[in-house]
Amino acid sequence: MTKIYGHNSTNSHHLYEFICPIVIRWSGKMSFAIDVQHLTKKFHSTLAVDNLTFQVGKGEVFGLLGPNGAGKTTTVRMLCCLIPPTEGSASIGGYDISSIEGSMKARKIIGLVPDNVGLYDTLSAVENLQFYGKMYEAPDQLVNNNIEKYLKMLDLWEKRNQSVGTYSKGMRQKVAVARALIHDPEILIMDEPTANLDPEASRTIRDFIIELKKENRTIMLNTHNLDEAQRICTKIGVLKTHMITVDTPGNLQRSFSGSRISIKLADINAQILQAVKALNLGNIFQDSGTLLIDLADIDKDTPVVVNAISAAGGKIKSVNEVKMSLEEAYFKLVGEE
Amino acid sequence: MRLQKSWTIAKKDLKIYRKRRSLVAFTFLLPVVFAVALPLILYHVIIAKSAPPSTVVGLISWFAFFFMIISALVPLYLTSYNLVGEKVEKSLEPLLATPTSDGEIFIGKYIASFIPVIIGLWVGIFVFYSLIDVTTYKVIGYYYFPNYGSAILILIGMPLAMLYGISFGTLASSRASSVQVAYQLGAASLLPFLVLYVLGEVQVISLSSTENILIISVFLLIATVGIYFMSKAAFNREKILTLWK
Ligand SMILES: Nc1ncnc2c1ncn2[C@@H]1O[C@H](COP(=O)(O)OP(=O)(O)OP(=O)(O)O)[C@@H](O)[C@H]1O
Ligand SMILES: [Mg+2]
Repeated sequence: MTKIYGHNSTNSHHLYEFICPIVIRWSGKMSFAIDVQHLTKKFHSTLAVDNLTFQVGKGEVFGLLGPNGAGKTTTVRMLCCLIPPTEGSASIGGYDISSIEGSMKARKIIGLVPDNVGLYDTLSAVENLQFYGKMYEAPDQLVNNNIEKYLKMLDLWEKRNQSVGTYSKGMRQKVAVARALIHDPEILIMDEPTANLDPEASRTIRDFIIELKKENRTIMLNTHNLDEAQRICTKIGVLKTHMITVDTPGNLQRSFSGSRISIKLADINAQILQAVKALNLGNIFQDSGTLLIDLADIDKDTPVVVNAISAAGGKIKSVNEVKMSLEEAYFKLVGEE
Repeated sequence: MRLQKSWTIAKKDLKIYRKRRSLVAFTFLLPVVFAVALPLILYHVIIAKSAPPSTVVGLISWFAFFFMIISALVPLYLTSYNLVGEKVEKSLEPLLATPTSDGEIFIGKYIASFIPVIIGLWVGIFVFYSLIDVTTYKVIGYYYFPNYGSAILILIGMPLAMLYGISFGTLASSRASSVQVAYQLGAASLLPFLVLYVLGEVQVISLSSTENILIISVFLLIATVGIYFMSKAAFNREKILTLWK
């Protein structure tokens, strides 16, 4: 082998080998707001979260969807440096949460809406928010601006000086959301922000999150509300102790809807049905003039079905993919576990 | 350790404290009740029976020791409230999610308990000294207070006893799930005082002497520092968040 360029020292080679993975890893982590690798949490014998790996890009809205006891809160608590993971690692905004210094820096750029609001009931909304502004080391000017901005947006400005103990549940939740934003965090993490709220209050909070999305903030939210996840999130992780799947709401829906087609025919007779059944594909349902057929591979199987029906003398009016709702997709995913 | 952070926490707790009438009443009532009751007892039991001046003086310095004990007792409740109160309001989770160290939170809690307690107790001891002077002047022929020993008690003995009570309350709170339980656990802190009391009773030591107050103070200082580190070690974020329900 001929050498084209370089020193003869073997040291520089070692140095290169040493530095390269660090640079790659570092730049890789920097591009994600949240990077979770094999995160695991055991409480004595209970496995709460098992080997979780996922990434959330900057400006993404990531929804962690899962039934009760799936480990959503446990995951959020690990990411917010509140409880240490049993195994695995995570970095928030490039900071490793398992180091003391990293966890301090990570906490500074996270805004957390915990599953219990945890406000000081005897203090007013403004007093609560000012306290947290100081705790997050945010400049007073920024804190005061944010108090005004968010309390006005959330329709609490008039009652800002009343003690939070007198607030309704929805109002308290709004204060908790404002609190999480008081220091303009890069990353907003919310544990079921609309749980236990009436439809109107949930909607206000949801619309508010959609508004925040426009500001290009990274948001991660826990929910067991599918509709909410679908409306707000750009990416959804389905969790049940371990991550079942991570995908966009559209793909998640499609991954199931893709397996069923509906064929509208001018007329359905026994001959046509026989021809389809003979293909031995999957479940077949008949709904007056429409046939619903489950397929293993929609791209490959659809032409086969269409040809078979035509050959049997069927007149096809239209062929469509059946869209399964995200809810059906979710129940199918979680149910299969 | 950023004291600014601790001060922010203390200010917040003091704001909450001021809005809790029962807490305010507790910090002031107990010292004042003692301050009034002890001279009354002295007057009715001793002076009314024309006891000799030496007995009266002995009793006065004995009573001063009670102020050491309540200096440790009063902050117990307040500290338990400050910490367990956060637990009950579930406000520890968002607080622990801020970039703040356990030490900063602890010192903040110490300050928040110390300020009202020292004000309450100083008011109490001022009332006590005044009433003692008024009731005993005729018997002993001079104003007993202020004196060198009382300065040591006010400036060294009592503050250290308060810090001891606070540290004990903190330790108890990190183990207890309600203010009452924390308070009961914290009451164990009075055991050393009980031992001192008994030793004084059987004349092994004389509690009244200024030297003894100083010796006890040193003991309290060492205990406070030790308990501070113990409670910091016992303060387990995970347990607090997942088991405190
Ligand atoms: N301190 C603990 N000790 C033992 N088990 C725990 C502890 N904390 C959580 N768990 C268990 O871990 C699992 C995950 O709990 P987690 O609260 O994370 O679920 P979740 O997805 O947030 O549920 P929910 O929708 O009800 O809020 C549950 O089985 C729970 O019982
Ligand atoms: Mg939860």
